[in-house]
Amino acid sequence: MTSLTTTSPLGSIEGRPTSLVRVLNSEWIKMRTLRSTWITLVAIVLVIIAFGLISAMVSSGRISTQGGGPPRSVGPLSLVLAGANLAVLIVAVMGAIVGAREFSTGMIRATFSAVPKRLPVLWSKLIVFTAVLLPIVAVSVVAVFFLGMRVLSGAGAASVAWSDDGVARSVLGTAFYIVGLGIIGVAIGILLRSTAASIGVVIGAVIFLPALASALLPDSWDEVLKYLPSNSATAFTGSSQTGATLLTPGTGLIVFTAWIVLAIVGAAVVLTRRDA
Amino acid sequence: MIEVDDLTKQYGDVTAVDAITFTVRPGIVTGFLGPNGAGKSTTMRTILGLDRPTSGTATVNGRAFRAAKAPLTELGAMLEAKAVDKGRSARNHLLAVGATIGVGRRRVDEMLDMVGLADVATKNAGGFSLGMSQRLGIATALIGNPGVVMLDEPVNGLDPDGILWIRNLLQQLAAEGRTVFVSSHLMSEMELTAEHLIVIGRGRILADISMEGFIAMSSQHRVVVESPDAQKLRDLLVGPDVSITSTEPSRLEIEGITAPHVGEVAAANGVVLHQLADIAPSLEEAFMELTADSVTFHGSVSAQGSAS
Ligand SMILES: Nc1ncnc2c1ncn2[C@@H]1O[C@H](COP(=O)(O)OP(=O)(O)O)[C@@H](O)[C@H]1O
Ligand SMILES: [Mg+2]
Repeated sequence: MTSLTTTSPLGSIEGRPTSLVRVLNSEWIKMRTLRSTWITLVAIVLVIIAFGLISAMVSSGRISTQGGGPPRSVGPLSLVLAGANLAVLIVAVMGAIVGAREFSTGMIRATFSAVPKRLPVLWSKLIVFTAVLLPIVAVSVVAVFFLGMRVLSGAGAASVAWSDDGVARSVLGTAFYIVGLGIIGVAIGILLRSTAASIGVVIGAVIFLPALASALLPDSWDEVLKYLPSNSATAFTGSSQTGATLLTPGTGLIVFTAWIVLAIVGAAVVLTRRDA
Repeated sequence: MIEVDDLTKQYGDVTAVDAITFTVRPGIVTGFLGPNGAGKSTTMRTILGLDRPTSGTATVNGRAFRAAKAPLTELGAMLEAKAVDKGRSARNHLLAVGATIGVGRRRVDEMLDMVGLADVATKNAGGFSLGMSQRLGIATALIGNPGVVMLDEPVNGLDPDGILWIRNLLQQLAAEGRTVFVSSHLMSEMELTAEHLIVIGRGRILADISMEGFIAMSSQHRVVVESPDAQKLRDLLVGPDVSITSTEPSRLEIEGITAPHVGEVAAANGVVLHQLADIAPSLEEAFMELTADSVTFHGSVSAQGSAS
């Protein structure tokens, strides 16, 4: 045989065992090599900070509008976190795309051919998504809080301090809510395998439907509705008014976390069972 | 080594693969041949663990592929070439895949060189032609230096240079002792590449045979005779192992006797012959014949009775 003397066209490398760390690295490479990741991250930071500052400026009269500022009932915290409510949508959409994208392109077959156990791919996608988004969102939300409060107090408008009761919880809770919904988006993307369908479901069913239901259904339903993902989160973000009776912040945190876990478990079960 | 044992895969009512059993051995190129819809891709997806068998098993190096410690180093596969993320460059695609077995930039560039994509390494894979995608798919399959290589219709979309390149590559990999399993719906491709053939039709194995054996089997000659006395000749030749058909009064097509024998019988009995020809079907025809019953839709290809 000549194989002993000629060099193989494939060279002589020896791959090392596939581990969670290696799959994490693979998923991190996938995430950072898509231009859309960076565009979306910049958009998230801009929306959280710019919208919060603009609404603080408008309300404190630094920017004058024809119709006057927002109604007095909106508290300073809600004002500066105005952009966060928009960022929720962007992050949820990003999550849905992260979850579904490989299924729509067919790339998932290459991925599962490299990691046929599959579950490490799910954990890695979730960890990379969370590790990238949580710091970015948390820093943006905290930054807009302090900047926004300076705008408000500088203009003599009502403001709150970080040390005030429930303020830190609301601000950090908002970051957790945003990223948590993104994680639910990833799970839904993996469940539905279609970017369009999962964007629709995560925005429609998870974000808008509960708000709509709270508005339309009789008050007797509030006891049930307060357990829905977005309503349970409102209990600890305390930044938006849905009119629903809310859980206590602690219970809200537990219920919302349970939704995240449920979504992940659903994705894990489906991912390991279904043909790819 | 790939072992498929009594494997069945159903999609709803469709039985894509029907209780097939075969082994793909190291050291040779094994062709997986069958018309479109025969179940080749389904079988390969099941070997990879992408699809779950309805029943039966498929193993790579003696165990389910799922159990592999460093999967890409055991089995490298290409299914659909176009199934990559269009927004990512060829190099980044390979970096992401290679990361699962701890290989990096140097290995990736080596593979890009080998498949001839070094010049477009930083271009988005979405803009690649089918041939370029096919090369990227092959690089993806081979990045882990795998002992088993499995490619689904790798020749699709390649130009003649590319076809020659992949043929040589596969033979070289087999010569190194690797297991090489390649599917195609065209016999003409397999003829030059594969040493062993597994022929599949409608989800069933129709032949599991060496290429030599297939050639021998398919070279059962037909003898075509033209004679003004065809009827008399037919009576002289007829026998238990001989089958004779006739499309025109003066023309016979005979199976089961060689041309020299026909000539001798004719001479001994004073039958005038206007033509005596030995016709060996091409491998393509032999393959078509083998799978004829298993093809759902026949094209309008007429048999070419040219004696060459
Ligand atoms: N995911 C699927 N769902 C339903 N039917 C399928 C699926 N994949 C393949 N089939 C059917 O199984 C049969 C075999 O297909 P396939 O394995 O792709 O054949 P080949 O690769 O030999 O052309 C075909 O009838 C095809 O329509
Ligand atoms: Mg196919």
